[in-house]
Amino acid sequence: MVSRIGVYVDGENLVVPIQQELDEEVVKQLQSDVLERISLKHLTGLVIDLSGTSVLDTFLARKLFDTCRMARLIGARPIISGMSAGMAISLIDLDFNPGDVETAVTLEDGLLRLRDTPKFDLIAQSDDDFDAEGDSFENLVKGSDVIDGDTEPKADDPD
Amino acid sequence: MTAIPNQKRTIQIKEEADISVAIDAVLQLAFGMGMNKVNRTMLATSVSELATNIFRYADQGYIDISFMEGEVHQGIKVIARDEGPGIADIDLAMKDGFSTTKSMGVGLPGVERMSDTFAIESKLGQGTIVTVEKFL
Repeated sequence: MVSRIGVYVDGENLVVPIQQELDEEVVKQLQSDVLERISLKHLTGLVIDLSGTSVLDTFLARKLFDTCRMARLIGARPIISGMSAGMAISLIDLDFNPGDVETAVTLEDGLLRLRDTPKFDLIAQSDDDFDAEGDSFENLVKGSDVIDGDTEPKADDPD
Repeated sequence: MTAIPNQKRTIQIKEEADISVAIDAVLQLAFGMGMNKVNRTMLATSVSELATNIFRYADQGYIDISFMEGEVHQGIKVIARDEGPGIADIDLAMKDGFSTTKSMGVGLPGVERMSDTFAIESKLGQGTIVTVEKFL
């Protein structure tokens, strides 16, 4: 009987708090659950939190980091959070290559980063908008609030 | 609960789930003797690698976990023993990046780095014994 790790949708992100010791079967199941949910719900972020687990050997670590890279392939930005000091020492001692997967201290920190990421496709509706107004990055980010606030965008339609 | 937990445990590694049993056992013993969290994690990760090696390469074997209560060093001693195919070239196996199959595992140089003492004995066709110690 394989225990299954719960995955939770938070806005546009998938949150995976791991609160148990992992083994091969659990991690394999998790991998397909995570990827399936991301593609089904069109999620754009993923945080896998390891604060509730104590041991990560190279096999499990590779599966988890692979899952992150796979998530990126289907369009979600992956973050691994909550890795303990001992885990970090062990993985590097074991010559594990963490690659370019982003990490965060806590689950909250990871989620904050994802929420703070501007959604460029919402903000700059076309290249013309971007060039014509010469908006700075900050203005663009503020602009997204206007759109989120269900108000008309201030710029006239360039067409 | 002030009773000292079992001083020694032997876990047979026969199937995948036994790896978790060995990890739990070493975490418990290490916690019981007051080893700090970082060292506990490193020791448990070593056990995980050693048990995984047994499962993958030797099919079955044993992990012995015991207290070391010497004057000089207190800590935990782990012996991973199997009667598998053995390692042909130990020097090669102790090099980073070496693995006899494509999958992960082996990780012996890493286990050595994570431990305070490390010893390996292996005879082709007879098996392998890895002994590691982690001090408090």
